Amino acid sequence: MDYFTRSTIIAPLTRIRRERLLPGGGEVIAKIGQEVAPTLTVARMAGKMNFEIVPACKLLRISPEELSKRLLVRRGDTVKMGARLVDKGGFGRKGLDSPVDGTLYAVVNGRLVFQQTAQYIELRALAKGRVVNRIANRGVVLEINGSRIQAIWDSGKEGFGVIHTTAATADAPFAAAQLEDDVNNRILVTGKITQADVLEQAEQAGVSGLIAGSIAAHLLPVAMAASYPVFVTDGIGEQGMLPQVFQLLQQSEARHVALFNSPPNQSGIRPEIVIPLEAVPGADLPSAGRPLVVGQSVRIVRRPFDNQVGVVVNLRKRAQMTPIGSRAYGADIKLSDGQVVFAPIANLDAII
Amino acid sequence: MTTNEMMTDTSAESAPDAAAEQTTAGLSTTPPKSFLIADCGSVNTTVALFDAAADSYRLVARVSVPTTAIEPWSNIHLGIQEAVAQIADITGRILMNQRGDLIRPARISGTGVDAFAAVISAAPPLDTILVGLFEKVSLASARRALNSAYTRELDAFSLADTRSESEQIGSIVRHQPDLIFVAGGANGGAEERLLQLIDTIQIGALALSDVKRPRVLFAGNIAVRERIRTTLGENIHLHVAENVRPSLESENLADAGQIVNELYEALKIKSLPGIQDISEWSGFPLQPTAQALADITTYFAALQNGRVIAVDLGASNVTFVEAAPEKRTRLCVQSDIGMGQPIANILDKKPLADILRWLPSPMEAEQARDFIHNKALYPHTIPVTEPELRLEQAIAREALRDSVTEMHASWENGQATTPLNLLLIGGKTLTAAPRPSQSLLLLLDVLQPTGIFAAAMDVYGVLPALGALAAYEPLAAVQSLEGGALLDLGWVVAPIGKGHPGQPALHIVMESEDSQRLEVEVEYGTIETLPLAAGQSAKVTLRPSRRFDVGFGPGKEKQVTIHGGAVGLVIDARGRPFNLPADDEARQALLRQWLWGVGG
Repeated sequence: MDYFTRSTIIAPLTRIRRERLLPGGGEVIAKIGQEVAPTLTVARMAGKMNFEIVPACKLLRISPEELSKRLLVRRGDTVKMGARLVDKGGFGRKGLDSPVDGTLYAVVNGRLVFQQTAQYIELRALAKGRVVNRIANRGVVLEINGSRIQAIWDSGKEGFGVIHTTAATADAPFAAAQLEDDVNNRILVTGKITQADVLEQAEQAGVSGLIAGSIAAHLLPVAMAASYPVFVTDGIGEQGMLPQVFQLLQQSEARHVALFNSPPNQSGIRPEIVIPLEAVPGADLPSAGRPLVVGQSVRIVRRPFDNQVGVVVNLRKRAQMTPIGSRAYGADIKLSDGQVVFAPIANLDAII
Repeated sequence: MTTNEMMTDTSAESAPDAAAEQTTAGLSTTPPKSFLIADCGSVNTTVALFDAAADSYRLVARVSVPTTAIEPWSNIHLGIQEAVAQIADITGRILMNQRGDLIRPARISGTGVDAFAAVISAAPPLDTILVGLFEKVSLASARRALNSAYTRELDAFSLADTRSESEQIGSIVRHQPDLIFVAGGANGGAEERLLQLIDTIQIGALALSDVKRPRVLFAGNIAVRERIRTTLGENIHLHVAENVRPSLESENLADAGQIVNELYEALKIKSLPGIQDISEWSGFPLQPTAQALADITTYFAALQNGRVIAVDLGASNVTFVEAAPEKRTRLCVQSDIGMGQPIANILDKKPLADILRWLPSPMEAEQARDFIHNKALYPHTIPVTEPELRLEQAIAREALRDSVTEMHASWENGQATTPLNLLLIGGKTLTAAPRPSQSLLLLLDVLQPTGIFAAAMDVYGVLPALGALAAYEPLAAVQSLEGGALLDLGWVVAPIGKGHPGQPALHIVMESEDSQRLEVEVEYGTIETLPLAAGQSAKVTLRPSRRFDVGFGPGKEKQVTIHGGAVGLVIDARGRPFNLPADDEARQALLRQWLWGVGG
């Protein structure tokens, strides 16, 4: 009997494919095969669109048909504020001038709709890699060689920078003392976030991002309001960071790291921490989604053994009674302290 | 995660080699000898195999696997294949060929099945912006129509909206809705203000690229349909439904609701990766789970000749269905709450204290808050400790209470006066509870139903899929339900009335088939359970005190025949409505007492 389970990729060296997509339709700039740097814009789209509606017919007291005959600009034309839009003709050549800088977007029922000059949203590569596919109007697929850590939560922002581990241990709380080094433009690694004021101090210190094992629930809004990305690898609470993740990030001190957030409205795509490295022959795409096997490293994600890591030593063929009296299919897990415990398959996260 | 259940030993029966004949109406002339049904949820995919027995269908095996609609699989069909492979493993019956295709119809050798049907709730909800003239008239009706499908309201424009037209256009562009639902104007009523809103919609919709451009559903004043069609032009896909509010006094939601459901199927279900393969397996159209649940609840209402309520507490939504003979079945789906990823939304809707008050023992607020957010991140996980179980059940109570409020708002002029005959319970949080009595108590707490009614639980998660099958293979669906696809919990007697704690509310004499007599007096403020096993029935004489009414008038005695179940006969004498004590210790003690009252 196969047991499929959720998984988390924690790979020191692998080949990574990551979609970089605009939130809406736009222009894809990068080309297939192109080598990209973190700062390179791979696609862009118009940002927040402001519309200005000019009731031309009403102002000029003409019909929509008359307006279409006298309109001096066409859809898509860019105009400057004060530019003549409609020439009514006649004595003194009355007309209508543009009240805004913008693009004539539409003419609807005698009204001129201007899209005001929009700022562009530029989608950067975030990591050194190569474009292996283009997705029309939306973005690209990047291939990157390096370390890959799937996180569980992000604050909605993304970024890149240089890693600096500030915590001494995987469960150390993020404290003001960890900001005493030069942390400007660094992506800091810490065990857990338990205080709001340190998040604010980190902003003032100019950090580029923060990676933590866990964060207290009441601090989620504070993290989301921060100007820098906050990534959480393990969960909500005080559990801290999985030792494997902490060790891998520690070993990556001073390397460049990219924080790819979970795209909104794309269910199941997790935030990822990617540390580009030189390609090594044999590094391949990890195979997530395979059935659980004996010997597989797993993390238990619910009490009473929450956040403990172990190895599957036996897959139970029959449903077992849990301590609360429900029945669940599961596996025997040998924890790092040697204890063997039963955990439902539903509560296991395979570490790949 | 995988949960598998083998109901009986496999005895693969020979089946005719010919396919079940289909009539032009789509109904088969030959019922299937065997069939598979699948329920593709946002967290799990459940597949069940049914086989024809002597005069019924029996559930042979059922498997639940994680949904594969999301990363790293990104193919919803893989989960079904995996579940079918596991069923094949359990039963020893070959169901797929070497390419992984379903063998259909069943062969003489016993391989394959005759039919396959599936219901889907794994797709995200239809993101919608509502547009209407008045909040309490056209917008209220539009909301009720939307509640019959998996939808999420992103914004609403009305005449009371103080935003500029430019800001409303900006909202459309920012939200990128799937649908803009326009209501407003009684037939023959206001036109100009509605047409101004249509201008706004046109600009906003055209500002989005072809792939992101929303559909527009117009269900308002029929006099302006053609002008709206002209205004929106060829580049915006317009759907037209009957006016949801043809007059101030009348409401007509069915047509708009059906179109919204069709749009959900077209825009959301059909966009799921791998859905085409499921369609090819199925001889029947894939249905949204909620719609299929509504269909099967309607069937139960006809069968019972009474009012039936079905509750499905899912991972990503909550569904309530109410059906009664000769009345329109009412469906209310809430897609912003559930026990999976949207669970954290409960904290935006309710104070945490509202959840914690349902706990029979104290818990720190921060611990509960952390738990809720973790559950949203790991929606597939299950409780294995008592505090986490109780917390999940407390959250479920408040999630359902929120939905009940929504349902009542949605179902004005409700059928509450009609006695309830049957309560159907679905959704894994409820059906996988260690004891079904816990889930029954949970629903009694939330719904506070009254009268005498039966309760059954969809423990195998097959009810909606049987609903989908019933439209095409009614005999197979009906016989499967009669063959034990549901777990009978027993009956509930819940009198209306108020009294003082300790005062007698109801005197009961229960005489079972084997002449065993049980006589009890149930006090006001308590809940008691009398043992009556599944398959047994008993004559029960109910003598309410003069201030209490079990449905036949205050103090009126009645003898009824009731049937047993996994819980028995539950006497809920807590009064209606009941409130929880404000004092923490008193409340927790009372909750523990009620829990013991139904068996712990």
